[in-house]
Amino acid sequence: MSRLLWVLLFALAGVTPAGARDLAIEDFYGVYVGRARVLDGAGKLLGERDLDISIEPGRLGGFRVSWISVELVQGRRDVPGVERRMLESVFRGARDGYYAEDTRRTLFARRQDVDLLEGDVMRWARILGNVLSVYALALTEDGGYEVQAYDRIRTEAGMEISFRRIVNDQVVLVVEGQAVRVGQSTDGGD
Amino acid sequence: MSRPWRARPLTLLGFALLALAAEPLCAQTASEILPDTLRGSFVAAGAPAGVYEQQEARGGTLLLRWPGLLEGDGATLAISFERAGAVGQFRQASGSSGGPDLSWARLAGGVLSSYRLRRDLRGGFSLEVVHRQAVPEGLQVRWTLIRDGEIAGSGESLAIRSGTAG
Repeated sequence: MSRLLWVLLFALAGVTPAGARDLAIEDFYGVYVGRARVLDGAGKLLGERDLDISIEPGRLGGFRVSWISVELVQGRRDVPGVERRMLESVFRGARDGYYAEDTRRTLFARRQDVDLLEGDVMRWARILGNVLSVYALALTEDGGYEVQAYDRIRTEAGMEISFRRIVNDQVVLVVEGQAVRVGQSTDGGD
Repeated sequence: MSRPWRARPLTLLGFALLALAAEPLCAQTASEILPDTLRGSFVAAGAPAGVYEQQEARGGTLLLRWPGLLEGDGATLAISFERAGAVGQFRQASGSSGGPDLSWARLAGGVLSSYRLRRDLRGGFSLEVVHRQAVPEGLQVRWTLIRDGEIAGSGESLAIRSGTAG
């Protein structure tokens, strides 16, 4: 009986803490390239996009995430109609369980409170387990609302990506894909 | 030369009559934001069951009561909202109770909507959206609950008019 109890205790000790451990933001640092499928809210495939994601240290315990997405045309990126978008967000060090977006343009600029009703976008990030989530909330021009949730799930090879865009109670866009962590080179030899 | 002792009572009477005549006009102005069909108390039997009440104070402040979805126990919230910059937008008034991180409201196209955002201690969030639209029986309530970027639930229920609020 006591042996069974010890086995159970060891099993719990081995599974629960490791399963519940949150990764540190440093575990996500790196450059990732991959591809994702773009779906509408009903699950219909709209297209594919190439992704180039960079997560790097920011100021005072914060981090910077930038990504480039290239909308492919029939699976190709070397034909007319391809669109390339680049976005970046900077987050302050974690406080109260999340990383709030740093809206200051310079280190010495005054920090201003985000005001949704004045047209600002509220962005924050958090790490839960092996998932780095970035959330955004904004009011649309017609007074409705929009929520964006971007999950980056760390895997051994890189990350899985899951994005949802909800506008006025409806899921209007879903992006799902994978990206692999790559090395970076700046020697310009190509 | 005028006769002030006779004129003054008449003047006062005139002002009194003017004030009486203006009272309905002022009251009408105060209720211009919220249509009469949305104003009052309504009781919903379907989920989320409870009392929905919409009142309007002078100055365009809205007082809304409804069974909150974020609390989970169906407790009735009371939050007042004041006009914000954009037409039809209202922000939670300071001193309101029941508001988590952020609450705001919107009146557009005959639909009164309330929004409440709550972030938990681990950075996750819940967004409660409740739309109220007048129907002949009372109020049609549609709600959506978003958790961590996923629609966690939605539904609608009919709230029957139970009274007229101030």
